[in-house]
Amino acid sequence: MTNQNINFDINFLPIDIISSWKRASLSSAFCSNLLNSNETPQHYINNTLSTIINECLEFSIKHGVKKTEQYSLSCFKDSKQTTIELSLYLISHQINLLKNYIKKIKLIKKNNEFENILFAKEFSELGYAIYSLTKDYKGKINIENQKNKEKTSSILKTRIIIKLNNKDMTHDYQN
Amino acid sequence: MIIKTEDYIIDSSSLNKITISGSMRLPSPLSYDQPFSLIKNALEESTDILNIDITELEYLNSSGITSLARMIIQARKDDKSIKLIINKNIPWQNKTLSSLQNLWEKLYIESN
Repeated sequence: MTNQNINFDINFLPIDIISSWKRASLSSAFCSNLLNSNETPQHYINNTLSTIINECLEFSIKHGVKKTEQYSLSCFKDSKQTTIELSLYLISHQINLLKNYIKKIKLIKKNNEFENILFAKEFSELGYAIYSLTKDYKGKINIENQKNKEKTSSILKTRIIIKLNNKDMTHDYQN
Repeated sequence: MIIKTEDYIIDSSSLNKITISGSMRLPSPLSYDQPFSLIKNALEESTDILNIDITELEYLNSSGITSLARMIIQARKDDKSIKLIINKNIPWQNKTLSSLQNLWEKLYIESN
């Protein structure tokens, strides 16, 4: 079973209800269990997947627009790699800011640059998480969006794709 | 002082020691201000290295890690030492938190 491909999609509305904030956490726990039900060491990988899925759900609630449209979260896991794909609507200006922010984080070399990501004006709460995903987990993040035909800021369907090697999620445990 | 909710507990009742357990996934860095005020106060009152024990903290989201990082920057400004006691079997702790040492040379990380 561990070598079989496992995948699923969930559709959801990114309703902006802080009182129900806990639902993102519960959903991420459910998804990580579903994706990882037959894997060993299960708890270790579940914790990582739940963390990433939770960040995706929180991001879509905080930054997504068109709150009445269906968003989707797809997870695909094979023997080597896990892919998590979030499909949502973002404002084109935000997409550019996010792409530039990720680029900047990937280039961090000095300590003062590292500190600056924690105080960025936009997406600052994500800075450390993106840094860790790319550096500590060797993960890859790609953002694909519809072409913006207008020069003014517009709402674009966007896909955020996160890829992780399964061995990078289990390495420390096995050693 | 102890803050206890359905999801997490923060206990700062011992001098120079804070224990955080459970799961913290609050909506924004700002929403951590109140619970993490215990860390801030403990830092101000600490007479020695402040031990922050998170070995039973299963989850902390990116907003929480950002808030924790900002606490560490505050410790640096006040020249206060911190020891973060982590659980090596909780992956985000084991993998993610070591980079916090870039922020402050007197942040020590101990795993158990």
